[in-house]
Amino acid sequence: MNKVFLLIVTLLALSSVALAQSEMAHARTDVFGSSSCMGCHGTSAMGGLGPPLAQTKLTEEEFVKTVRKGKGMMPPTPEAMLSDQDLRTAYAEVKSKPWDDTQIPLAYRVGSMLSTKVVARIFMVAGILSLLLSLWVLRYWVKLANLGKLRPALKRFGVGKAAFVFIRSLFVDGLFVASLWRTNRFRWAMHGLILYGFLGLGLADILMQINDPTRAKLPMDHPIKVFAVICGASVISGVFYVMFRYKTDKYVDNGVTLGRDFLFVNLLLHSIFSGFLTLTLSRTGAFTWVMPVYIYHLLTVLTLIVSMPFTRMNHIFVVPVMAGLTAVTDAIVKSGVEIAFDREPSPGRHHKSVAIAESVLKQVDPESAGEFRLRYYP
Amino acid sequence: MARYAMLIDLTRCIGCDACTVACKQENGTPLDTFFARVLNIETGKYPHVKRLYVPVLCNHCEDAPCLKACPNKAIFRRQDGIVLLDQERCRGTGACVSACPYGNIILHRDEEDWYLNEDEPYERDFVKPRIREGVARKCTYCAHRVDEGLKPACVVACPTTARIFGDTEDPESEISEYIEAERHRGRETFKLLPEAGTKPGGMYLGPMSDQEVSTLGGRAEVEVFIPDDSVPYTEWDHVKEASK
Repeated sequence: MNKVFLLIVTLLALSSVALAQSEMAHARTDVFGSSSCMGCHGTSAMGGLGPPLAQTKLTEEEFVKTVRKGKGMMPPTPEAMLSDQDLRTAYAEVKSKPWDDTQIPLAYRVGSMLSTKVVARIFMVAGILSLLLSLWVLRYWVKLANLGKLRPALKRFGVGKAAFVFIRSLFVDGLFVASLWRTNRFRWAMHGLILYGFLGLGLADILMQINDPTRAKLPMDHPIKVFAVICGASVISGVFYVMFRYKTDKYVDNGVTLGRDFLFVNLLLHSIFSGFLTLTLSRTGAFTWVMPVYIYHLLTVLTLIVSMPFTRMNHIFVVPVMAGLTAVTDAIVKSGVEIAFDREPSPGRHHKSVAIAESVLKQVDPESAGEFRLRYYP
Repeated sequence: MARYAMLIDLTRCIGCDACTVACKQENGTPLDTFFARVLNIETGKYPHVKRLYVPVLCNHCEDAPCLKACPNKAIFRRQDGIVLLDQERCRGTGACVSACPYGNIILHRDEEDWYLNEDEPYERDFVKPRIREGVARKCTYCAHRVDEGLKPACVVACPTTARIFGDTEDPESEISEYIEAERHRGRETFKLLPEAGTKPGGMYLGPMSDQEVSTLGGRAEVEVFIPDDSVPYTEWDHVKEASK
């Protein structure tokens, strides 16, 4: 935790230095240097957060249009901030700057590869990979529930009806977290901060993509941006509560899942925090730091997604599915199609007992393993 | 550190359900809640039928899936291998119920039916503080007894001593010596559903097929396995005498 804070404090300190430097440069020597262009395109116009402009191949008209309308992350600059005349001077300046490969900053070299399309592709591949890995992990869990032995009862109960029970449970027990709602509203709210905040961030991302496929920078008061910021703040406050519980909870270590817990919570913290830091840096004008922090943000989100099936984050699909299966077996038992119990306090106990009986008979009496029945006495 | 486990010798089990009842009494479980139960397995067709009793209880697995499935960290594994479920932390999500391949976690969300009337001291003071309503519960290997140096209730109650409980990491313990002695006789322990990969602590020793005891089929004489003399088992002496 301390290291995280140290990192953040250092980054903030450095960003304020960068901010001071950019202000000092306002001692009007030339238009390019005195305007905010330099912040992104570098002091020698060899690029920074934005591309190099020295020896630019753009025509003057294209150049003016780009500055006025904005492009990608570049904000539009109105005439009030930069007159047409100054703009033309700036064009002449950058056109005459010498090209110097050694001046291209590393962040731009990496950043220039991260076009919206490339980032979207990387995340699409990561998402599909994560989904496949999740399904692979889920196989282990579904096997434990031993659905094979339940199949005949499932058929009698009705597959459609079972699917309805399962999906209802996914929403009620999974999305709404009914068990926490029933037992502890405070914990439900804290869990909700993370859960719904995270879902909101995903939704905001999709909305941004629909709103503008090139993902130009949105103004801070844009509804989608406001929504995303609220969701991010919600997740981060939830994560801080979890961190606090790690300090106070004597059950933090159950002997098995501690490492996976920490990995999940820390990855979540780093990705959301670096997201906020990117936002803050780009709004305060510390452009030099935006790209490295943004790349770190992308990397942590990517790690979070790909490692999801193996960190404790897998509870987002394991718990709803297992609780759903419990709901289905419970419904089957209560309907009385499996075996005529009045009630079954451990849903699925009968078909699991059948599996145990089969396993034992294979060990001790292989001949009769195929044909047996469990006898219950009232 | 200790690793507590239970060995159930199926040759000895007579299916009397004394363990089931002892468990219910010790833990005061409400109606239909069984931590320990006995499976009655019937095989074959009349007249060649057999019955096999398999007592089952929580296996206190080394790689317990219930523990990994719990989103509230309510299930944990003690240093001595006993897997416990903290009822105060449990929110009754129900993920562990499906995760247990043995069906030994009980979650009953409806109102419980207790055996005694309200305000009976036994249930009020002894049982209800430990067995909460609406949350999951499971066998504890009678951890409260084990901590005081006693054996679990089901072990004490078994009239044929089919259940042997102890520390498998201690070669001097009763369970380790029993396993060793039976290994000399050619009987290896086995575990339930090994393919589930849970590494259960509970072990079983195979029954009938070794001895072919089928008195119900009309064969009166019982083949008795004469144990190796090198194994110190005084209980067998009278059998050896009788078979001479």
